[in-house]
Amino acid sequence: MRKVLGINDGRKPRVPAFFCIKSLDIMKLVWFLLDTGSIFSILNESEALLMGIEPTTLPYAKVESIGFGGTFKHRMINRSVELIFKTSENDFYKIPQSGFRVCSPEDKDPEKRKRMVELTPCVVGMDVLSKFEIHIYKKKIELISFEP
Amino acid sequence: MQTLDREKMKHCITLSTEDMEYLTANYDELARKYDKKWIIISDKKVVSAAESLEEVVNALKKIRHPECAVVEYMTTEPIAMFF
Repeated sequence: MRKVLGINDGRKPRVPAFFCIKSLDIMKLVWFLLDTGSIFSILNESEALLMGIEPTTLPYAKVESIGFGGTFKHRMINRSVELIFKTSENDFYKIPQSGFRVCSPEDKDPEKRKRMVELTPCVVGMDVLSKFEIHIYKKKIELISFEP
Repeated sequence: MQTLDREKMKHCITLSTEDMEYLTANYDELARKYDKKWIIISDKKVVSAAESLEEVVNALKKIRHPECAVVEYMTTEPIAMFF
């Protein structure tokens, strides 16, 4: 049974995963918010910048996204990406992705855009979470892989 | 940002989890102290506070394990967030 552990502080249930783009020699640990309401996972602008990826240089995704606040266009890293979770058995569980969405807020008001960049989390959505049984406890999270 | 081997990855997760636990345990106090700032936590302490992400990028270059550090924007402002 492969179990991934995360932290729940009562506001943001988060789980750590390495975000890897081998073709760009990028590997960074990212804390992702668990979001069962999101269909897809997404990297926020600040984490992209910390990895050396300038989100405004990325192409837009073909499909529009919708969230509270309305519709928006996200951008795409069109490279093979791996999310690598450490299991409680001291092993690693890799989830390959053929590309990855990046949220780069667009607001005409620069102050509002700045606030969005500051507060928007990285999210693991159901594209990733559907591979796990999800247990959220008061202080911790357990993701148990359906695969043996 | 170099690729890490398995042992370094395990070490990185252990360090980062300790730093995230430190952040969550001390969130209110840290938010008051570093209101409206980005902070970098490494080795269970705030090693840098910055006004902008550009400053964070530069500050990360000076720490030992930048790929494992916890970076968080702190605010005392009550904001209802829906994602």
